[in-house]
Amino acid sequence: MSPSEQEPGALERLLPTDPSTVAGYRLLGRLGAGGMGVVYLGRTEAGELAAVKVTHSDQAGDPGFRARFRREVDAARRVVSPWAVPVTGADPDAPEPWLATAFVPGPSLAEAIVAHGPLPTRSARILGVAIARALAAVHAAGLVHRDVKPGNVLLAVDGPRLIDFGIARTVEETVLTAPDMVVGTPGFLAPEQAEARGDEIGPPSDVFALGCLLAYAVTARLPFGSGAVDALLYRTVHDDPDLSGIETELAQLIGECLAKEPRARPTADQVAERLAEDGPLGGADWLPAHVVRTIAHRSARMLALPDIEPTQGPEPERTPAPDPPQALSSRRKFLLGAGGAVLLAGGGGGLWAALRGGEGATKGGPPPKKRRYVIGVQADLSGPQKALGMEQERGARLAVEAHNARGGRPFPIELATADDAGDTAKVSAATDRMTGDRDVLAVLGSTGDYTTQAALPAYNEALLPLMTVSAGLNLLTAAKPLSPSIIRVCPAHPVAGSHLAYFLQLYYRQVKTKTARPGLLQERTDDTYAWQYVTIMNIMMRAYGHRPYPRVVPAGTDAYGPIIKDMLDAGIDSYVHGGTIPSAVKAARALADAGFEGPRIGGPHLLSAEFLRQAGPAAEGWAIAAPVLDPLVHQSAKGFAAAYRKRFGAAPGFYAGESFDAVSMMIEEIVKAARSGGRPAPADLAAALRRKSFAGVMGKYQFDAENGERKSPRAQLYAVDNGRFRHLMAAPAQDPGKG
Amino acid sequence: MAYRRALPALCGVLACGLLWTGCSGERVDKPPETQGAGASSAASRGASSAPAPGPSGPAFDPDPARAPTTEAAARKLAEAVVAGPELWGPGFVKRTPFLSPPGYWPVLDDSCVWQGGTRPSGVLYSLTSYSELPPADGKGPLRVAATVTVHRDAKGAEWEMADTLEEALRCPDQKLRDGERVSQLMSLGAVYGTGGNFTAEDSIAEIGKYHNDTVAGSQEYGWFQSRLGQVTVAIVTKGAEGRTPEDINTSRVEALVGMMNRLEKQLEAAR
Repeated sequence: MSPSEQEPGALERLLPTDPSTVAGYRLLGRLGAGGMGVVYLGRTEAGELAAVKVTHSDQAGDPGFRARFRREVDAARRVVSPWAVPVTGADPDAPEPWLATAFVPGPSLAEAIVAHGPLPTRSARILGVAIARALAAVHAAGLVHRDVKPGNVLLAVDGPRLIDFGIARTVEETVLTAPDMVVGTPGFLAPEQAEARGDEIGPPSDVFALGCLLAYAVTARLPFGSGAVDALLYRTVHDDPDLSGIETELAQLIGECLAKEPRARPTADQVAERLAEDGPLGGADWLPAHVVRTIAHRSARMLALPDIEPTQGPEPERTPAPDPPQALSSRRKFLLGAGGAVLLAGGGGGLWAALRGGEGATKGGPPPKKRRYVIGVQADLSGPQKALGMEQERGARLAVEAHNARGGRPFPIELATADDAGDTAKVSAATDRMTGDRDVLAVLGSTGDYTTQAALPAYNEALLPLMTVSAGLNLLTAAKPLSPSIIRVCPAHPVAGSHLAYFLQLYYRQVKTKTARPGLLQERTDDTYAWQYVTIMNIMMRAYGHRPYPRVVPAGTDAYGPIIKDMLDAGIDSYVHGGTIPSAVKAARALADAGFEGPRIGGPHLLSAEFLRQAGPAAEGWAIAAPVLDPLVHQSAKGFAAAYRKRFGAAPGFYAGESFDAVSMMIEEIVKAARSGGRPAPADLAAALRRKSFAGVMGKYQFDAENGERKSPRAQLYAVDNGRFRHLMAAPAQDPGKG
Repeated sequence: MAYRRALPALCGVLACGLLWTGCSGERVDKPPETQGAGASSAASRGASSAPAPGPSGPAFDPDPARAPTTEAAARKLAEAVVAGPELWGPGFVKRTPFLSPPGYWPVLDDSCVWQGGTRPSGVLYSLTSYSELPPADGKGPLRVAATVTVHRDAKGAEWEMADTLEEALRCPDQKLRDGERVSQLMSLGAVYGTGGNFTAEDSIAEIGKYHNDTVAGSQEYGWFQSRLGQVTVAIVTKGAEGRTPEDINTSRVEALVGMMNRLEKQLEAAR
């Protein structure tokens, strides 16, 4: 047995009942606990970190258990591979038997795939070589691992590590396992394991699991699917694996590993050889840069454990631990000096280069470049929403300049901008600029729904907080897995749509219309936006007992005359336009021509000078719902508006004030973190911003810690009045009730 | 094979495309701090906010000479494309009748009941085929159908897509025929390049609950429709007891993607 529950990201405090030391290890926290015992993060006197598993004393009272424990430890000690986590100490005869292994702070393959998606084929091949070699060493020691799965593969910068011999048993000792017990993890079980054919379980079973693991690594899917365990086991035994989407040569090899007949599978050695044909193994560039960055952050967090002395630089000459294994002494160098990821074997210059994104630098290397504090703005500065993007950039700039002008500030903050031109094809260049600068701590952006959606994965990977004041797409905060990066200042479209429905219902109540006929038009140029508004309003209007008249119109349709006539013939008494400016202009004209005087309502796409200009008099009387306040009329924004005018020579436009607040929030958190310990990790900054309660010039801000959505966001209503947008009211955020 | 590559993406749309997320119509929030009202002059400060145009469509190189212009040619195309048991998957069989009669054109009336109607002049031909996975091992019969509709031009097909979306807004509850109805329909369109649609110029995913008077409870109802040029293809699945969403999803992806494949081959220039 060994620390199978090792979860490097989830270190918990010791409980009052926990010992403070076990054998020679000072315990720093809990890595996990299970039915059999507790896994602690421990530290030797010399400073090495170790995962220490201590079994419950009631288990230890069972003599059979103690015998098995001893055999497992002996067997695990026989496994010698740079890619298998070594056992560094054990005492089967202690009152509470314990076992220690080297501690790898990197994420598991399972965590990495959840966070970053599948690995590139090249990374997966290198991973496969290492794990196949580790398994070959396991098999050479007369063991079968029996639980090869992504959770048992930890990622380090210099290569992956196989962990958990928790249920490894020597081949001759299967008698210790209950005969019909299925051991292992469904989805990675070989047919002979799935059917609990104990005598057939052997090294080929691990090769089968390795095949599943490799398929999962490159596709994030299991080759026999997921779902109910019995169905999954059935498919494992009877069905062909799904290897679609895997590069042909790799798929061929995986297919052979997944042969139903154990003897038809290659050996672990053969798998390693065939995977390694491509080129040498090793080097720090085996993983994509963003995964390496995660590892570095993880490791840095572990190194920040309060119980470890502050590290000033590498001190390899310090008194070594008694009888230090070779791996541990290099590990120690790393621990004391690098602040990056673990180095057990195979690391070199390339490794350190890869770690420069981390939080420290080695003494004796090139002098570290001075770290800057940078806030990024990704915006549409040259595309269809450039006016809006410019306001956001200006708001951000003003916040940064206000900080830099402040006396007693601990450091200046820089602003970096990246223009995505509102074009999803240009987003990756913009995100590269932001994520490629290790000094960028947080980003404001982007302007549009789809550029923000396209940018989000890159910010998620880089763990950089991304605050948007104008992207209302529901999926930004709702798509699973939830984004750790997004923080949304404005209401999502469906929320704004529900506020609009309340507004319309308020109108109907005032005019005492119990059964109304709102006309809802979904124009498909920006179909997702239009759908979000129209669908929510349709649902809510029906719930109020009204009879909405919905129409859906293809993008690019010109014939709004007949469409509006059809809606008026149907008896509509209000009109909601889910669509973009060109279609809204045509609809506004057709409604004006028909002399329609009921409420005419549009969404944030229409809060635009362009709509006013093109629709002219036909726009008069329209009501526009938008996610922003007007900084010119909002009381607490007076000072901001004056400062903006002074700085840019013009009145602030929509979105400038919210952008100023968003960036001010970032600055406050960065300064706070810097005062209490140092430069914040962007990932911590995102979490801190979501927990923040902030009073800005445009209002108060609080967020949902889980999904980053602003709490109690309000849509605002503007009326078109004399060719201008006049602020009417905050859209009702409360259900006015049925008429 | 573009479609084969896009399969996982499309699977995602079919499985998850309809998730209605971020919706909070029931939200009850406290009013915020008092705000200044009064006039403001913001005309010059507004911003244009049209989205950037996305990519227009999948890699598809139609041969204009192969585009049907007559009813006969449209019928031939529809017969070549429409999905039978061979596309739905192992175990599926034809139902009787297998094909819809010429001129078949159901219409959703003002009471949200499907009725027989007259094929519009802009439609050259429309063909529906009926298949099922017969009951077995205590699982109910999985009834499915596939429809190919050939319009005179792409514009007509675009309007058919819009009409499909409109039907679910107008009638979230529909009566299919005596003893069969659907409820809580929600219909979501995804033009090419959005919502995981990289197979068709436009696609619709529609999910609701299927009620059959002969079976207790409700099952999943799914209608999925894609457009390429002047042609739309659609599939419908009516869930049955014991049929898992995964099984049904696999079949509908196979049928829809299979039809899109056939359609592409029919309309593209010979290579």
